[in-house]
Amino acid sequence: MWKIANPTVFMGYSGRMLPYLWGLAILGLCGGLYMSFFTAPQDYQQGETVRIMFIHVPMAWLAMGCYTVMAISAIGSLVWRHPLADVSIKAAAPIGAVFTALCLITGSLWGKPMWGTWWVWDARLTSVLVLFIMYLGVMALQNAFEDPNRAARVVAVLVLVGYVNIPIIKFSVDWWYTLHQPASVLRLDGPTIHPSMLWPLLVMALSMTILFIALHFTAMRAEILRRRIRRLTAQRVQEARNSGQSSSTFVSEPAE
Amino acid sequence: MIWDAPHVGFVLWCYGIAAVFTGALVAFILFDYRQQAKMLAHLEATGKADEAPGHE
Repeated sequence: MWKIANPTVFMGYSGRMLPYLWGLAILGLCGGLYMSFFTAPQDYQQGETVRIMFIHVPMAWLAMGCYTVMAISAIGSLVWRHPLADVSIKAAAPIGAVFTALCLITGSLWGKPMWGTWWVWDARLTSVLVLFIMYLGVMALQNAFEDPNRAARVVAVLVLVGYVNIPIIKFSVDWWYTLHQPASVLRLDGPTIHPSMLWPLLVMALSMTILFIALHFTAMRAEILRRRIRRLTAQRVQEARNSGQSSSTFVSEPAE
Repeated sequence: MIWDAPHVGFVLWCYGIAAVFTGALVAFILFDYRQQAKMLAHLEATGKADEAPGHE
């Protein structure tokens, strides 16, 4: 882990992995979508609307998984001061926000035909909405600081405090009387879904997870480049000030 | 057929919205990465913080 703590080493590894990750994500999504529409049967109660599950459930899992990645990164930032930890948080937050928004939207589109309503303030839906607001809060706090190093500790603390929402989301259907159904896959007694529906769900979930990893790595690479640009620019402005020259007349220097 | 099933519009809206949002996210992240790579390459090549590309 400490070997890839060096941003240059991380750029090397991620650059080599990314083409395979994108390829696997695209193949997996194509396969998963085919299975979702043509292989999985319709539900005896829900009919064709059960196919919304193959989008909604992976998005929900990823929304929580992405926040878990951010929480682990926050620990890395606070405890070990890992150089890439706050880069990871900054890269993951917008991705997690989009996945959470899609979870809420697809859930709403599933709820209308099934429950007769677009929204209810039950424990599961409300806690996922809180998760979405947490993502927005993390992004807003990061952008409130001009210097990302100053933002790192504050954002890490916010992420860790907000992590209490994740087990609340997971166990909300058990702790409270909710309209949202209880867990069907991640249960101690094993999944209650028939394999003909379980396999498309797992393929979609795995494909979206690989897509998330590809997006996360790409966003981290962009953030590392952004910080290099900031550092180079600040260095050159400082050198120009020190030499008493204007910023447009200094000589170019070797790349970092 | 699926197209004649009740509430199939909800299914299609679901997949459509997911495709649009996910596609926009992918496009934004890839575009941002390309922009940062271009800017860094330009900075390293010219060594000038505030000069436009191609400007002498």
